[in-house]
Order: sequence, then C-alpha cells, then structure tokens
Amino acid sequence: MTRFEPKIIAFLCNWCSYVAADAAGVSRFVQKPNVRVIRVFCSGMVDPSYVIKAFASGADGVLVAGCHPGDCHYLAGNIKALRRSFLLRKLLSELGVEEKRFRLEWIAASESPLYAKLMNEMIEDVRNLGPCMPSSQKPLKGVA
Amino acid sequence: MKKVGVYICHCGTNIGGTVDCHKIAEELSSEIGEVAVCRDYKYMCSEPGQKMIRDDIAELGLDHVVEASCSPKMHEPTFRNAVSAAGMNPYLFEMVNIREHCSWVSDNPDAATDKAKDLIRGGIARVTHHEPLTGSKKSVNPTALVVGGGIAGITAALKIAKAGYQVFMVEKEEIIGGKMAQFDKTFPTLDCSGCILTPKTSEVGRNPHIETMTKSEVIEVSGFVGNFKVRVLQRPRYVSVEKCTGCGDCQQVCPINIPSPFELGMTTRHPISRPFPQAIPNTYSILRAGMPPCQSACPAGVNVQGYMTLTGVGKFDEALSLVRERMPFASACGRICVRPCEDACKRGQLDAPTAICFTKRFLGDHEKETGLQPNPPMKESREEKVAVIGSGPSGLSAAYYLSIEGYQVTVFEKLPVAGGMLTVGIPAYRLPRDVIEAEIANIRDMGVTIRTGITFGKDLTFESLEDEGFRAVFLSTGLHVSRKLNLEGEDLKGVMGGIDLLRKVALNEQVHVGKSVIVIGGGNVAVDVARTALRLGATKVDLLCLEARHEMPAWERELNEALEEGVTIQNSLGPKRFIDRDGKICAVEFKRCTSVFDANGNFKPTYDENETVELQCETVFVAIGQSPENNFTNSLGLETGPGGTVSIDTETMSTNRPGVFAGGDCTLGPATFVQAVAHGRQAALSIDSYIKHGGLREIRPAERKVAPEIGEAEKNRARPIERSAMPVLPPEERKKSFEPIELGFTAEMAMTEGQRCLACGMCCQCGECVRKCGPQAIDLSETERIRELEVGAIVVATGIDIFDAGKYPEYGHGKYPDVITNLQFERLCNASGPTGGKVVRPSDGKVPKSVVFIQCVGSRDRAKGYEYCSKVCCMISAKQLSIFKHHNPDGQAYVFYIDNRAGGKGYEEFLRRAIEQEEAQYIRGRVAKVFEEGGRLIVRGENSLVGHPVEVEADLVVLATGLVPQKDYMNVGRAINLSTDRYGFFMELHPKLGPVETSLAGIYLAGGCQGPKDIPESVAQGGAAAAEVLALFSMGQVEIDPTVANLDERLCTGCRTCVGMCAYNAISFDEQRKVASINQALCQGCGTCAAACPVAAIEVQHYTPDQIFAQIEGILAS
Repeated sequence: MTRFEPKIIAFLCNWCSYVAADAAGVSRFVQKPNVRVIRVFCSGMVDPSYVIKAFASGADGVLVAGCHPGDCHYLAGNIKALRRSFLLRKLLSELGVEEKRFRLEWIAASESPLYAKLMNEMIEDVRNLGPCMPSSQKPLKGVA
Repeated sequence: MKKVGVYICHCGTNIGGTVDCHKIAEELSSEIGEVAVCRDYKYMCSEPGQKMIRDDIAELGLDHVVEASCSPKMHEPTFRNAVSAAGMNPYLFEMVNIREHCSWVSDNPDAATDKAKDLIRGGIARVTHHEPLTGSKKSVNPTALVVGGGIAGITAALKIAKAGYQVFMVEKEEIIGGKMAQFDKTFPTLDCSGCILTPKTSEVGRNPHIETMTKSEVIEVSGFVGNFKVRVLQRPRYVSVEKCTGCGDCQQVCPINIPSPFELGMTTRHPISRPFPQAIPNTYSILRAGMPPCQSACPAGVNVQGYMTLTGVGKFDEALSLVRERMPFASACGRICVRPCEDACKRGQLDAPTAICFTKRFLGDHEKETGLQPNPPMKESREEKVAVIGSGPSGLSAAYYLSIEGYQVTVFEKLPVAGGMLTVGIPAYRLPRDVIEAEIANIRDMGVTIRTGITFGKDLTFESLEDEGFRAVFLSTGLHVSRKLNLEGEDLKGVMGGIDLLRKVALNEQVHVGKSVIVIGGGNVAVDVARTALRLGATKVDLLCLEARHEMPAWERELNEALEEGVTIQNSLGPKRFIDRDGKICAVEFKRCTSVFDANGNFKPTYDENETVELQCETVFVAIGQSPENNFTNSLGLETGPGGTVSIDTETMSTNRPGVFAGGDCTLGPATFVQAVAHGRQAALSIDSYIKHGGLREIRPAERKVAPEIGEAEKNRARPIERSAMPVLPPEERKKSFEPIELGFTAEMAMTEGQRCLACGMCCQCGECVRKCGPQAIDLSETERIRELEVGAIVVATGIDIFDAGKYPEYGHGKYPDVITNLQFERLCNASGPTGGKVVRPSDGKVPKSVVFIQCVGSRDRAKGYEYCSKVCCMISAKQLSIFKHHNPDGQAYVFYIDNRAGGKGYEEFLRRAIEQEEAQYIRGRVAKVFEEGGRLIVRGENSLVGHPVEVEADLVVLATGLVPQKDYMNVGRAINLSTDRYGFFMELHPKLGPVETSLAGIYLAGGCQGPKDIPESVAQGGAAAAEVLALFSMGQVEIDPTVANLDERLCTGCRTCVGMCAYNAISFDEQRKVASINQALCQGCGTCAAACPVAAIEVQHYTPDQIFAQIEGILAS
C-alpha cells in the first residue's frame, strides 16, 4: 500500500513568509513535496472562504502565514487575519475539519529554516490524520 | 475559449535537473483545453526564451501567458516586459515558482515533477481569469532622504546632491562620519582615515543641497515610491548650529566629566563638547541622557543634579541661584523636605543616596553667612498688581516667581506673622525662626509687599481687590483648623488641637501643658506636638495612634528622634472617651484598633470595643489632621471638593472664578511643603500667562526621564566617597530647648556630597556654559521635536556596531585595562585620541613590547557570537600590528587566528607584509583564556597546526571584535518597514542582483546595515544606492501598481466594516449614497477590506476571489 501523501495549500504573504519560502529554496532546505504555495499580498487578504474553498477542493491542510505582529507591511493586516482565524477555526470544526489541518503562523523573511521546519511538521501532522474526510464521510469537494 | 501559452523553464539544471519539464509540457498540452501552446526551454529568461514568448503571442494570438520558472520576486518584471513588448497587457501574464518552491527543495524527482505540474495547473486556471490592468502614473518628488551619516550615507548624499537634488541626511549621533571617523588608518594603504573622510564630511556640511539633521532618528515612513512621508524625531543639541562659533569657551567651565562614547570610554569628555576638532557639524553640542531621577521625583522639579554638581566644585552662589529657579526656600527646604529626591537618587542603589537635602540646607546657611542673596535674574518691572492670600510656602512661592516676572505683588496674611505653617506649624527645633525670617526677607527684598493681620473675607473680598486694581488673585490659605474626633469630652479643659499648640508656641502665646501628656495621632504633626510638649516641661509624653508602627504616616527619622528624646509610642489604639475630674481631663480610654484600612486601602478603621486601655494624663493633644476653615471657603463662591478643599485645574491652578487661582494645602488637603511650593510656582506661571495673553500657560512637553535603575556607566562614574552624616545635638540636650537639632554641613561636607553625584542626566543644566557663551548659542530649554519630511526616495545607511567583547569574559575585557578592542586600539593610535596618538598601555601609559591580537571575537562562533565572518577583522589586525611596529620597531606582535581572510585588492599582499616585514607571529588557534600572572597578561591558547597549547606574555591584548547589527536595528526596521535577516541586518532585494534595493520600491540600502563590509564596499554601495535614486528621479514619474481595491457599489450595503479595516484611511463612507468609497490613490492593496466585506463587494484587482478560487481548483485538480 502506498503511503498517503497529503496536499497542503499555503497562503503566504508577499513580504515575509513568501520571502522565507524563497530563501528556504535558495538555501536548499529540503521539504517534503506536499505543499502548494499561493502568493497573496498580506495574510489579512486571505478571505476565510479561500480556506474553506481549499478544503472543499480537496486540500488536506491549509496554512496561512504572515509577518510577525508589529512587522506587517500593511501595519496590522496580520492581526486582522488572526482576528478572523478564531471564527474560522470554529467553522472548520463544525464542518468536521480537524484542528491540526489549519494553521496560522508568523514567519519572518529571515526565518527560512523555520518555514521548512514548520512545513515538514505540518505535513506529518496532516499525514497522520489521513485524507480530509469531513463528517459527511465524503470529500467536501463542490461545496464552496 | 481563451488561448493560453505555457512556458516551462529548465533554468539549466536548477529546475530541469529535478523536474521533468518536457514531460509536464507534453502532458499539459493534451490535458488542458485552454493551453494553446506549451513549451519547455533551457533558459526562458534569456533573449531566445523571451523571443519565443513574443513570437507565440504574435503568431498564435495568445490571450494569456503562464511562465513557470524561478520566483516572481526574481523575474516577474522581466516576463511582464516581454509580454508587453508583444502587445499583451502585462497583467494577463502569470508566473509560477517551480524553482525556489519546488526543484530546489525536493529530493524526489517524481514528486517534484508532480508538484510542479500542480503549481503550473494552478497558474493556468488562474490566468484565464486575469483582466488587463493599467496602473496610474504618479510624479516623483525629487528629494532624497539618507538615513545615517557614515561613509556609505555620505557617499550617497554627495552623489545625489551633486546631481542637483535636495537631500536630507538624518544622523543619530551628534556628528556625521560614522565609524570611519573613529579609525586611525585604513587598510591596505595605511591612508589616514580622517584625512580621507573629513574632506567628505565638510563637503556635506558645505553643500547647499544637503540638510543634515543630527541627533535625529526616523520614526515613521508612510507613502510609496516617489512620494514618501517621513517623520523624524530630532533630539535637542542645545547648542545652535548657526550661532556656535566653535570657540570652546563653554567646555572650559563645564563642571561634569563623563566617559567619552567617541573615545570608547578611554578618556572623559564634558557633556558640552565635540568629539574631535574637525567634526561636522563643527559646533558643540550637549549630551544629556534625560531628566535625572532626583529632579523627576521632586514635585517642584528642582534641578538637583545641577546644584549638587555646582556645590561639588564650590560654586555655592550659582548653586543656590539654580535652586531658587524652582524653590525660593533653600534653607527651609533643606531642613524640612520629605526628600523624594533622595529616595530616587541612584547612588542609593550603590551605597547611600547623596545628601541632597543637607547640601541644599548648606547653600542656605552659606547665604546667611555671606549675606549675598543669589536669585534668578529679575525681568523687567510691570505695572500689573497681583494679590496673594496667605503667606505660607505656596503663597510666598507664587509671590516670589510673580515678582521675578516683574509683577507688583501683595501678600495678605491673617496671622500677625508671615510664613504660614513654616512659621506656626513647624517647631523651631526643626526650622529656626531666623532661618525662615531670612528667606521671607529675601522675598520682601525682591519687592513683594507682605501685609499681616488682614483677614480675607472680612477685611478684603475679591470685589475689593478688583476695585484696588489687582488683576489676579492667588488663594493659598492652607489648612489651619485642627480636625476633631467628635467624641464625648473633647471640649474638656486640657484637651487641645495639635496644630493649635504649635501655633500658640510659635506666636509666643501662653499655653499650659501638664506633666503627663497624651498625643493622639500618628503623623508628623503628632510627633512635632509630642516633642514640643516635652520641651514645654512635660515629663511623660505618650503618643497613641490607630496605625501599627509600620503603617504610621510620620517620618521614620522624626519618630526615632522622638523616641530618643523619651516619647513613648503606643500603636493600634483609638480613643473611646475622654474622662474628666471636676471638668478637667484626667484620663483617656482607648480601644483596640484591629485594622485601619479596608481591602482597597481606604481609611476605614475597625475596633475591638472589648479590649480597652485607660491612660492617665493632664493634657491631651488631638493631632489627627487639619481642615480648611469651612465657612470661609464656602463664602468665596468657589467650587470645592472633598474635605472642603478648593477645586482647581491641576495643570493651570485656576479655579472656576476667572482670575482666581489657588494652590497648596487649601486645594490638596494636608500635603508636603515641597508640593505647596510647586503649586505656587505653577500658579505664578499661569497668572503671568493669564495677564499677558488672557489665556492659560503653554504646557511644554516633559523631558524624557532617565531610567530609574543604576547602570554600569553610572556605577563606573561613582567616586568612592561615603555619605556625610549630619552632626546633631545629643537627645538629652536637645529636649530641653527649641534649639535646632541638626547643626548643618560644613563647606567641605557639602562639596564632597556634590562630588558623590553620579551625573545620571549627564549634562546637569547648571547653566555655567550658558553664562560663558559669548554668542549666546546655548539654549538648555530645547526639547525634542518631530519634523515631517516629504521625499521621493530613501537610502538607509544606518551602519554597523562593534561586538560586545564582554560576552567573552575569559578574555578579560573590562576586567584588565590592557585588554582592549580593536576600535579602542584605533583611538590609541589616533593623534586626536586619548593618548594623542601614542600607542601605550591604558593601565600605566608605558609603551607595550608585546602585543597579542585575538581574532574572531564574536565572529564565526555559533556558541557565543555570530556565525558569520565579519570580513574585516583579519585586515584590521594586520593593519594595527603594522602601525604598532611603525610606532615601536622593537615590539613584537602575535596574532591568534582561525583562518586569514584577505580577499580584496591588495589585501593579501598587505597581510604578507605584516608577516614577513613586520615579523608578526601568526599562531593558528583559538585563545582559551587571558589572565594576569605576576603583573603581566598571559594569553593561553592552542597552536592547532602543531597541536600544542601555547602561552604568550602580553603587555597589551587587542580583541579583533566582529561587526554586528546596530542595537536599534529593530526600531529602524519597523519605522521604515524593512525586513531583517536572522542577525538583524537589513535584507536586500536579491543577494546577487539587487544588493542595494529592498523589497520596497524607492527604498535602498548602503553600507554595514546590510551586512559586514569594509570601507570600499560601503562606498560602492553608497554610490550604487545613489544611482538607483537618480534613476528614479530622472524617470520623473512612477507607475503605481493597479493592484488596488475596487468596490462594486451595487453590492455594498453600507455596513462600514471596511472603513474600520483600512490602515491607510483610503476608505470613507459616502453619507449621501450610503455606500463605501475607496480612494485608490491611498490604497496599498493589502486586501484586508476585501477579506472583511460580508457581501464580497470589494475585490483587490489581480487578487480576486475568482482568480484565487481558480488557482486552488487548478492546483488540486489532479
């Protein structure tokens, strides 16, 4: 039996986390090949519906990453992302999406080792959870 | 169906070595209908690659292009230009990152290929939703800001200014020149650093296009490329750059010496000084750390450090005059003040606080002896009359400062003597009458009229004062009514109010005090009453109060003195009733007080009524507090607060009646002498402003306070002198009379106390330099201010710091004076340095024979320092040992090194010369320890080439300390919105191709703030940054990204959620149409409004939900 390979969508902010992901590449910090990055300007631009959409389209995990509080390129967009994340988590749990499948992280441009580490960690967490099969026992595909 | 062209780059083997690009290209062509063409190519960014795209667009009529290669941070502009050149709108293009995010981080080619394919599929899905967009054009403000005045910043500023553009240079220190100004020579040419730098700094000073702001920091940057708004915090120089002639008279009279930061503590400087004679700006400035804790603790804000310092150098009259700027009563204050200054004095954290109060008292005593009355200079006389009601400390203080302002002041006093509580409340053994009389006489001599025996409300009213032409009234009537217990028997014969006793004694009225006396109360008045009773012949005095011993509000010192004199104190007892015999008091019954305060700290005593004590006595004094004369304040028609005190505005001291001000105890309730004086002065300033302008006084921003905890620098400044003890009369002698107990300081004692001061504020604002300065260039009242600049481009060149050698305690820096850092060695060699250019040992001034250099202190050391190589230290040591050998040809230099790194033009040759000609011994290995043995320093290390330990005797050890980010890199980074690497160096746009650009258009980096580098590199970067700025300026305008928020008004419900989200005030609410309105010129495109909009009426162009959803679906389609 082949090992389950989860798919994780990572929304990375243009100014910190995306730069960290690039720098991880430049430094050749090897990561498991399960993450697919979508670049956004700011973690504050990530509409909760994007996260739901990703799960609905078959993602097994979603990461939203932005600058550290106080370092946001847009002053406090990351804080707004944080504010939204609480309700989003609740909603996801209602939908039967396990807690560890969604993460909001602060990754500075200089923290490329952290980026690689977090990604590998999350991949293993999600792998252990298995495919995202919300309560309906069917993938959420087609909901959003 | 739209036609999409897809191009997959191999990037040589960078992508192609891991990802099977050709296979993906083939599969995508067949799997996705929209893909009109899908090609893979070795280098898409090359001209043939770009041409391939251009040709396809033209020939196949492509609607969109997807390019999969490196990070869009790298080549997005390249490919956008390529599609533009073929006539396609650049926003119809999408770039997919399969290098940094895929091939470079995957070790499994199959998985990497799948991943790349997913990513490209996402790109294709997304791009079909792209719309053509055009950015608006904005003109560029051709003014540059250079942050940092080191060699990199200077180079950039000069080049930009030379092209004719205006430059603002912001420098944190008092001079420009940066670290290079501290160097003696430069490697590998051994050029004199100053000789090549100072022509540049003076050019900056002369250039009409450059405005330099020293002691300034950028605190906020907003706006965008070409149109930045910058807020700069300018700290005061205190010396006008325009007026100062650089004559240096000021520093000759400055009484303070502090370690010179420029000389790295190897010598001292005066707070008013300039680091070296050729410094730019070539004027003096003052180092002031902020308001010292003693002064901030003083309610009256007396410049304690100032007068302590002046006293320390024997300038007693000047010191007293400084005291009087805030406190008219030096002698009285020196005797009775509660001394918050001494509690705050940082010397107290070391041994004992400086004896501030006694020193001030000495100044007053000295005045009495010499007969001179130093007062602040009087201003021109004015006609306006001001009335002061009450001649207590508050009233007299107001009169004093009003008189200095030139007003005609009359003080009206109800009692037959002036002075208020100073005269009738404080016993003469604490404050002798002649002392207070002399200070009142001083106030009289300044032109203040004091009329005693006049009762306000009876002899005078506000109306009668107005009729007499008084323009303002200051009410300071104090609290002269003894508070009552309201117990049965309180009006018996032999029961009396505490302050009534003190007043009667002061006024020489007849009082009968029995042999045994009970005093009720636990405050200072109670203690004064008890001690006065002793002096009036009582043989047994019992002081009883509700509070436990530690809760008593009375001063510990006073309590101890009372105990010494024989007063007994009984705690936790409250009076229950007064017992009489034949209508005369004979005893008091007390009950146990179980607690005085409630849980919130409010006065709310509880008692145990069953536990009682009866105490015999002949006289009882009740000293439980004072209150104003109620019927009096009620009759004034003024608003009153708790306890009948007059309500005032605490900033201006004004009452609700125009022209009437109030202060002191009658507004505060029972407070301290020094608070009353502070009120008086504050009111005087308000009255002055009221009369002159009809308004209330301007409130200046308070000066920044010095940290309350003692620091290393202050500890090092402390001279080893013990606090002088005040000589006092022995208890048996003093209780017999009202003679003063404390005998006073001698001039020597006062001076040594002055010398104990740690100069926490650095400059003490004593005013010596102001008096000396011919062109009157010095203004000690200067404050911090914020300046707003508008600039089009910013060059950040904030430089670098030196590693703190203290992190290697085994090397003994700070412990052994002859272990120094390489920057300190530079100062030793420098002709304007602490030794005048003689390379000698700091400890004894002897010429060292053997000098050991220890490399990599803080560099290439993951455990204690930084992992990186600081790049310059090998060369610095080679240079320094060469200089040492030139000064001292018989000397021997040793270098403990890890690797010699000498990459650079002429560097290796220079290093070889150091080894071969200067005969330096290079020993490969780390040093374990530097220690002292038999008066010599021993450097113990390892020669790793032979694998043996080595020990070298050294006269001088030089630590080659590495280069580290500036301590405040975080503040600068946040103010300008720069990213930093993991050490704290600012991140450039690209390590190879964008070394001076940042991720923010219009903001560039130069010099050490981006990473350790030597002078030629810093200069090159300064020039490169200037070139970027000039390119921007010559373009004249910039295209603003069209990726801004867009509102669909048809969907907007007018909920205004977005308005609160926007950090740039770009969204407003249109009241008429009841919808939001977005100002796209202000919008930065962060998209937080779009994410928050509950009806999805807002979209960020190029980041629409359609596009993101499509990308998600595309990625996950497999």
